[in-house]
Amino acid sequence: MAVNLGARSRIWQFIHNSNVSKRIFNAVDRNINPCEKCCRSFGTYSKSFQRQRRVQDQSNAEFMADEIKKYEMGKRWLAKMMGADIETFTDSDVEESLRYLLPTKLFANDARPMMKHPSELFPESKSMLSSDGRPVHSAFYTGATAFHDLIYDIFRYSRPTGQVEQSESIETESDEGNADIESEETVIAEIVKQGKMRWLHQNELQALLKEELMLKDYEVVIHRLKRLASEKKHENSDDIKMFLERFQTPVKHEGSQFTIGQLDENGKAHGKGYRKRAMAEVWISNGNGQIAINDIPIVEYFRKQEDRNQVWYPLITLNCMGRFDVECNVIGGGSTGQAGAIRLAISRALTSLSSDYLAQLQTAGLLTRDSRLVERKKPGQKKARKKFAWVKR
Amino acid sequence: MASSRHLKGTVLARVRDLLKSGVLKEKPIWFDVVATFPPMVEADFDRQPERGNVKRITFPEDSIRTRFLTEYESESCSLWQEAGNHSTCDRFVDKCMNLIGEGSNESQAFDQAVRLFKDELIPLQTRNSPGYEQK
Amino acid sequence: MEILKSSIFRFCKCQIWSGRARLVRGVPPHLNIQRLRGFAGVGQTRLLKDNQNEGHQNDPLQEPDFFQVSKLFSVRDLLNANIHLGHHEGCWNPFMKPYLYGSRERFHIIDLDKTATHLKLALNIMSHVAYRRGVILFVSTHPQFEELVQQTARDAGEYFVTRQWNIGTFTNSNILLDTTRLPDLVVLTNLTMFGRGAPPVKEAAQCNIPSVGVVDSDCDPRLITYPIPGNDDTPSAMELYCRLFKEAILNAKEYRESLNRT
Repeated sequence: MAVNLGARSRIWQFIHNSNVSKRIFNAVDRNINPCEKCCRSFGTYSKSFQRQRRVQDQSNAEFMADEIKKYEMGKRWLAKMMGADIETFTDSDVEESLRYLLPTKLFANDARPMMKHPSELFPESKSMLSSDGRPVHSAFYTGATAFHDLIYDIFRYSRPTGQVEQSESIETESDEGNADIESEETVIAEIVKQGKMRWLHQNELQALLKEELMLKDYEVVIHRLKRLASEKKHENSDDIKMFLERFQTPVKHEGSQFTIGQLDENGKAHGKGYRKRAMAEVWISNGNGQIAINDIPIVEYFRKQEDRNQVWYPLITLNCMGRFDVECNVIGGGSTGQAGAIRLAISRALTSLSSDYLAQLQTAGLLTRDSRLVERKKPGQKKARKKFAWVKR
Repeated sequence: MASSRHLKGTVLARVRDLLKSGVLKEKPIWFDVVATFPPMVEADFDRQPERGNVKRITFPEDSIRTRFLTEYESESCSLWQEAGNHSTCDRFVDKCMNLIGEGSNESQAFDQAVRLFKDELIPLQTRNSPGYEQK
Repeated sequence: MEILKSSIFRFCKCQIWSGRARLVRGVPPHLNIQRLRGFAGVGQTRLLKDNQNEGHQNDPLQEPDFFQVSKLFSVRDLLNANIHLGHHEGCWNPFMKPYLYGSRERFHIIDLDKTATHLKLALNIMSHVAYRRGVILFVSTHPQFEELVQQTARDAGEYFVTRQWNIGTFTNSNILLDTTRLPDLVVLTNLTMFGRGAPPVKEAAQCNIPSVGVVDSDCDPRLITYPIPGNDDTPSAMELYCRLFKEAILNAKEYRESLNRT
């Protein structure tokens, strides 16, 4: 995905006004419309433009060969402009020089000028039509073939496999009665909990299907998968279990991303933490309880008792006050934010000292990043919520 | 797709005109099929609906059935009941119709059928009978 | 309610048992139930043999019923599948009047003779289009029949849209689908609207694609090239339609393959 149409025109304006771009275009070819040229040389293809070209153009291979040729040419020009050696000019150099030549303040990443190899820009797409001109896939006209295949698979697995199985399942259902229906959710929860599995998120499912998936379609898929998983008659079927496992993934514990027992070269445990606008980095070593923040003792650094308590909190929780020395660098934010950031950094660092600490810190909720940020100020109000003082009449 | 978007005329007529004027070069696959088997009613969006009301469907035994169901209680009958399964009401109405076919008028036939049913010891529960409330 | 139920029941049974319906309205001779029933049970192999003996295999269009779709069903099948049951009088569409037999206890009853002729024509068209390698698209936006319609399309080797219709699928196909290959026949069922307001119907008409549609007594049949008047809300009815569509398409394809083989 390159850029959308609006963004493209904005880029064009921007590029058109800068001298650098003019030089590029004039150098490459004077005859071609500069807007199109810009799009080609920097690979900022809009989706529709891309398709249009694809339809107009001969075959895919020829098109790609053409694009690669243009890319190589553009790269050579760029290298020349930057005064670099053409042979050693890598893709990362291309990016860097582009950032230098065409500085942009555009917010959206995909709206910024870019220049990538055509193989990255145009993913290999196989033709959807067979040789006799009929679409290959039954769901062709829905535009979401993988999604419909998945839905169809769920239908197939939901169906009773044989007459015998069906009658058995009916008997068991009638024996257990309404309890099944009531405990449906708990059954799902159990299945997921036993293996500590969760259903894939939308982006993960998208990656699996290799297809864009809208939220409502994702919800439909997950709902049906859950229903399939909750049906008791499928419990013994390996096929269905395998099928369902494709859409599940193990639940990650908080803090499991920190490696346990790994210390840095000085034998110190290292951790980073964030809160509000503050960022903290700590090194913990065995000692007698000295805590230095930016080389200042904690008692001097934090004047408020609450802030100091925040910093000590993980140590108090683990009952190891006075056993460790803590060195700490912190920047940004105010005193509360800094204290919170240090607290998280200390907690994270402590997990690498002992595996016992992990569970305790987790239950205390000390490994969770506090994601709250300051609420924005609103126009017509003094602060986020506070209103201007006013008197009626 | 070269065509008017205002949906004038039928699909066949529109495509025929496009072919005639040379806008469409090739016949669509369906063209000969639709030309050979044209629709029974032209799919014209601007046509007017037929006037008049839809006629009511009535059967001669409707009045008897209504009277029986208001006076007596019948076992609940389902729309999807099998063809061979007659309810009391059905048998009663059949009996009445037979009697009418033999020449008696409607109320006579009704009374006679009630008598016949009582002779055959087929229970006919009235709506006011105590058994009905219990049910 | 009891009276209502029993009388509709009565109506169904009248037709089944005693042929009372025929007494009331009279069946057109070309669609006599007895005649239709006489055809039932003829296999596909027989069909192919018949056609080859008569030497029509070169041009199926010369025959009025080359693929013998009228053998696929009888009026009694339609009746058993409750295709005659329409909606309440209050929700009818006046354009459906020619297809209605009458109203019984405020519910419209669809004329099954007309359903049969229209269904036969529609199946004939479908078989011919399938025989000519046309693309047939099944469209049904009703969640209840999602699986059924999808299964039908997949079994028949054709195409389907069983979830929400993306607006512009036909009219904007070169952008949305990256193709200009549109279907040659659209089969529509269970659409809440069939008129100009229904995007699939409108787009099919705008792109000059003939359409086959199952229209209930509350549907607008004006833009459908080959309407099939009949109940579209009952599973039994939908199953019958889907079975017939599938058989008609597969018969035609089988015949084409047999020609290729010889």
